[in-house]
Amino acid sequence: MLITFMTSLFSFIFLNIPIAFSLILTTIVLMVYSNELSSANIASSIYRGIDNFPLMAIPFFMLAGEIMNVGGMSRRIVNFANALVGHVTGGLGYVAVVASMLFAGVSGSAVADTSAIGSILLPIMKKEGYDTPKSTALISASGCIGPIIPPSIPMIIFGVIGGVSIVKLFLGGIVPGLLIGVGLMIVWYFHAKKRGYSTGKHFSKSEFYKAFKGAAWAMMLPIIILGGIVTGVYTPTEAAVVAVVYAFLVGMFVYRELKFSQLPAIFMHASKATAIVLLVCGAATAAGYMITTAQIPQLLLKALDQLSGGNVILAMFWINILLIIVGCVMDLTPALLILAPMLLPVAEGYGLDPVYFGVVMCVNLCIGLITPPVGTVLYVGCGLSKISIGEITKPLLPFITVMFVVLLLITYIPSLITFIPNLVK
Amino acid sequence: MLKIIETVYRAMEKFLLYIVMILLALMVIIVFANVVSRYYLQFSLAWSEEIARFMLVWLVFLGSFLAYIHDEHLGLDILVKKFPPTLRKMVATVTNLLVIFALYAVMEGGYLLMMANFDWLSAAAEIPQGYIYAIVPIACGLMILQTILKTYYVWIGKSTSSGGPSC
Repeated sequence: MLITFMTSLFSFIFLNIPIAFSLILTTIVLMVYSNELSSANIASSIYRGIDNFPLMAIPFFMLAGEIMNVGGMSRRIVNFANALVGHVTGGLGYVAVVASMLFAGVSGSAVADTSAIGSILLPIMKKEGYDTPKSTALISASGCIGPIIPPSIPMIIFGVIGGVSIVKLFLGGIVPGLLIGVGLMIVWYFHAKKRGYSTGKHFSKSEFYKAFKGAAWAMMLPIIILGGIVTGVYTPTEAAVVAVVYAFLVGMFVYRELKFSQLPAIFMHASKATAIVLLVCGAATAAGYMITTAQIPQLLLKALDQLSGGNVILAMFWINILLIIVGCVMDLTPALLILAPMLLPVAEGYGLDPVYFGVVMCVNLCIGLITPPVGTVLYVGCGLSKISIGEITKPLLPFITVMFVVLLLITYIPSLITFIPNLVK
Repeated sequence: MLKIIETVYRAMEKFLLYIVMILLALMVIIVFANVVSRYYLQFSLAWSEEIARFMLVWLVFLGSFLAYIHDEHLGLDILVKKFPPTLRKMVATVTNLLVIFALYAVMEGGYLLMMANFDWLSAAAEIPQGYIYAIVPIACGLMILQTILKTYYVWIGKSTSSGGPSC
């Protein structure tokens, strides 16, 4: 059964059938195999996979990120990061990482993070004589912090399909996200020293204050989002909608950079992007129904037990390897949607905390966003600086290494993830 | 003949883009209104979550069709890109047939659900569920037509894809 499932799913996907349709076809194959084909069942499980209030946070967070971008918040965040860390050798590199981390506090998507920060900083870095492939690699890698520091679209998805608290998953991402940011800056430190990059502009006290004041409106947002969710004032979905309205009001009336005429394009784009993700989600729900009835997690658990001898440490090692391989060729969202229903029961079989497991899975698959051959964030970064995937691969290696080190740390020191979520009820 | 179909399609695409845009904007307004009314007026709008969810379903199915027009759905082309052109055309034809089969299954299932649920009112807003389900067969039908058109385009060598990945 496991073999039938895997071969049919991966042959459909590798033949370039859109992943959502591949999942539906696989569901049909499994239904025929177990003799319970019913089109009404397929349609209703797809419907159930979409008709879900927590998932609505996805379009809202997408909207918030894009409105922030167009409304001038991103530029001010970069400016403030520049005032904070720009004045040292190779300062713009640190600016990129810090700005990405700040932006990550509002956006839940790595692509949004990378394109917002990259489109502002890459041209400046080029002008300052920074190595373009290296700068692009850094910006792509720090963009991956977007879905690790809360809010996070992948964690919303994991929470919904796994029945795990989205709030706890969000909080669990804070430390891993900060660790990756610090790690990237350390790697950049050695690169900048070796290349002898220029030091950036030194901000005077009044300039610093001005940069801070400009960014203050934008930096309120992460506090509004996280604060409201943690204190239970609103759900993640409602926090997302508050973020949309807030970003709209600030862009429109405080910064006065957002125009009404820009809104239709933003909404259309967000709708389509949402549909793409949620169609896969619906199809994965249908497939998940068959995965459960066919007892695929149990089969997987048995296979993993043989491989690891029932040892959790080894089991997590093999799971991580599997995720890395899948992450290399598949996008984050579909990989998560396909693997989470299969792997979460396995993890629970080993007595692992679902919050811990979800964060490890998301961090792991986020690395996949910048690993060739298929890395969505890589495409965005390379598109912005007009270089090829081949040129960026080598400069990326140290950054990917950092992310692997963090992955290793959080996999084997679970309290790095679970410490903060365990503080709240 | 093809020209007419294309013109109709383009007009429909534009119209549906406005529809999904309005749906999303309404979702924002409705969900936000509920937050405000609950927080400030201690009064929760029971129907708001339900209506917003129904709008999400419509948005996703219509949006899926819109994204399908320009091949924006998540997929993996690293293998087929390496195929010679003729083989690629043949593979595309076979896979399109499979897609039509999958879409037909969902369309039929959606139609059955729709017909079975016109008398079934939703809990809070009391909308007949059948109307919500109706978007499933509609969107799948549109996507089936689109797949047929795509297969034709493959053989005459016209590309349908536009921008790259979007999320």
